[in-house]
Amino acid sequence: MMQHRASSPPVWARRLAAPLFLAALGLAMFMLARTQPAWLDERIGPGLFARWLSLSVVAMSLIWAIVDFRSEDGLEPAQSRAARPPLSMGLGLLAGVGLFALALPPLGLVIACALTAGVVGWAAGDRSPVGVGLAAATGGACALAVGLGLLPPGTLLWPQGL
Amino acid sequence: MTPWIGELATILTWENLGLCFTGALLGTITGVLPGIGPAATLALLLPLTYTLDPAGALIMLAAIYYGAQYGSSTTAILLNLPGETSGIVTALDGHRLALAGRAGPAIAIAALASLFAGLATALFIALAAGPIADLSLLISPAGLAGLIALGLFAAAVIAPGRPLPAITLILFGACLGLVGTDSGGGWPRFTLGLTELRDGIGFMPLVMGLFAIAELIRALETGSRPDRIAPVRWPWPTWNDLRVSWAPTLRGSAIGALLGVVPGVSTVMSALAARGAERAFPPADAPLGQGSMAGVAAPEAANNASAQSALVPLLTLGIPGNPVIAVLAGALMIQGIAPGPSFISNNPDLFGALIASLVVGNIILVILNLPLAGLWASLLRIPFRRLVPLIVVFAVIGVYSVRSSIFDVWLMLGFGVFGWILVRLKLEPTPIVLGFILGPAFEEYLRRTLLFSRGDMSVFLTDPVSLTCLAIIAAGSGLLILRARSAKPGR
Repeated sequence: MMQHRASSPPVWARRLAAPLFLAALGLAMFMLARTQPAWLDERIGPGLFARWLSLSVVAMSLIWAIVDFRSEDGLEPAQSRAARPPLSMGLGLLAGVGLFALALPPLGLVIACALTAGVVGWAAGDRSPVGVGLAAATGGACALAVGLGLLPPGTLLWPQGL
Repeated sequence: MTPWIGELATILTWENLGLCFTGALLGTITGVLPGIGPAATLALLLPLTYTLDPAGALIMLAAIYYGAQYGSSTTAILLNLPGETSGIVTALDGHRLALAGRAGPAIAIAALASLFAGLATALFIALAAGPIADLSLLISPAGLAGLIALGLFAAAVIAPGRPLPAITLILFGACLGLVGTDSGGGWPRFTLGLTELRDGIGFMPLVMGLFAIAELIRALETGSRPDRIAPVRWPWPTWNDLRVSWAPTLRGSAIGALLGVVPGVSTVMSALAARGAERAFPPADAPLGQGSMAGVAAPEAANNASAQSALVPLLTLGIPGNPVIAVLAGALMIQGIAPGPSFISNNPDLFGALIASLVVGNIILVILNLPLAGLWASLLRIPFRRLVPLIVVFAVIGVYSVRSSIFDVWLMLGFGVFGWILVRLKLEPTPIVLGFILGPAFEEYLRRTLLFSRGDMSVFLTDPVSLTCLAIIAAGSGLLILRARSAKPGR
């Protein structure tokens, strides 16, 4: 019984996910564009082209959704849970970038890059402490080299006060 | 043509030769790595050019660009896994040759065909770009807006995959390009009240998020390396290899140089067209697809010629014809160089430096690619997971260093998430960059047109260039609809 339960969304939902996602983004842009004037006297204002474009995104997405919904082409079979790539790789890589943004102001470029490289190395599949440590050390060394050689002199390389 | 010959002397300084060599070397190293295409390569290495003067930056960026193109063919031949899409065509015969123990000669033929195509196309650009730019100065703002619309339409239609998603993503990219202060009245637009967005979305956070971060995640999730990499022995072709390759190289160069000028035509399409043309000329060594040198020479020549001649619409009209050129355009804008109709007349020195860089850089690349083919092969043996942390570190430093802005790093993270969602939805994020670059340019020409016509839209139907572009777009759309209807079963 459990095996019959769908482990992936129905076909129509998979067909419509992409166009509806972009239609929602286009609609959000249109709502923002509406807050601005389309015309200023006889000159075009900031809202005109923005409205045209965002409405075009919505319109094209809806046409795309209709075409896909009516399409008789088969979708690729849904991947089983086991075959789906794990989310941890992507999430880990994104966490590494977020960590850089959080760590840079207090810790400086070198340590922030070392932390980022360590987290990303782990996310990329290097799970041994030596591998993660090596990735962190290499990342820090690269940041030091780039920071000293290419970035402006005022760049914060080390924690403030060090 | 004379100015760029004069500039050849300018580029032959030790400093510029060093920049050209460094760009070609770094472009090749990064281009060799599967999963990192030329667009991401350019974006990743962009921070290296910040401290250079415009001519030096242009020389280095151009060298990185065609270095990445060269590098991808080595990967295609050795791994059957191209560094960028056009390598797929080279891999069809190149990898067969590698499996037969002829990886070295195949890499050499690819390099020599690319060299010939690169030099011939540099000459073509030097001769053709000036007159085209002079003509484009005569085009009205309405005509330029029409040309941009036509370029975007062509890019969406000809791109691999389906046109509807590509058009939608281009339009969405154009929306992103409008974020910031409106150039007409100084109004903040799409900024969500954030002062950091008043200058617009930075080009680097967008490109790094969509290409570096999202593409790395895709490569990690889907990528697998073969256990065995074909050994590279003496990387020099036999006389017979050269004999059977020269004619396909000539044909590939001509096809690539001509197709590359058309906005929207990618390098992979030129390579495919060149390989298709070879079917009319049965190769003397082996049938196409069975390890024929013609199957390496023709697509490689076409690929390189197309990559270079794609600079023509950028330099003469300001229209980047494909996403890689869009990244190059963004890189030039960061350097304060504005590609467009007046680029060549305002910057003859920069144009000359670019042409000279194409000539010198292609020669440097052959010197790098022939003796070092074995070294590139060994680079492919480094596990990808070991390279990913370094690539991310360079990406975050690159994004942060443009404006010393933590906000840009968060923005890059946001675009990384967005790019990842697109990848999961089986969409290509590249059209967004085209829209991002061309959206604001289109609005500017639209604004000027409506200012002159006092808001009368019919000017787009009375201007001959604009009318022609609109007619082509309408006819193309009609053909697409007809093709889609006739493709349905039972009709």
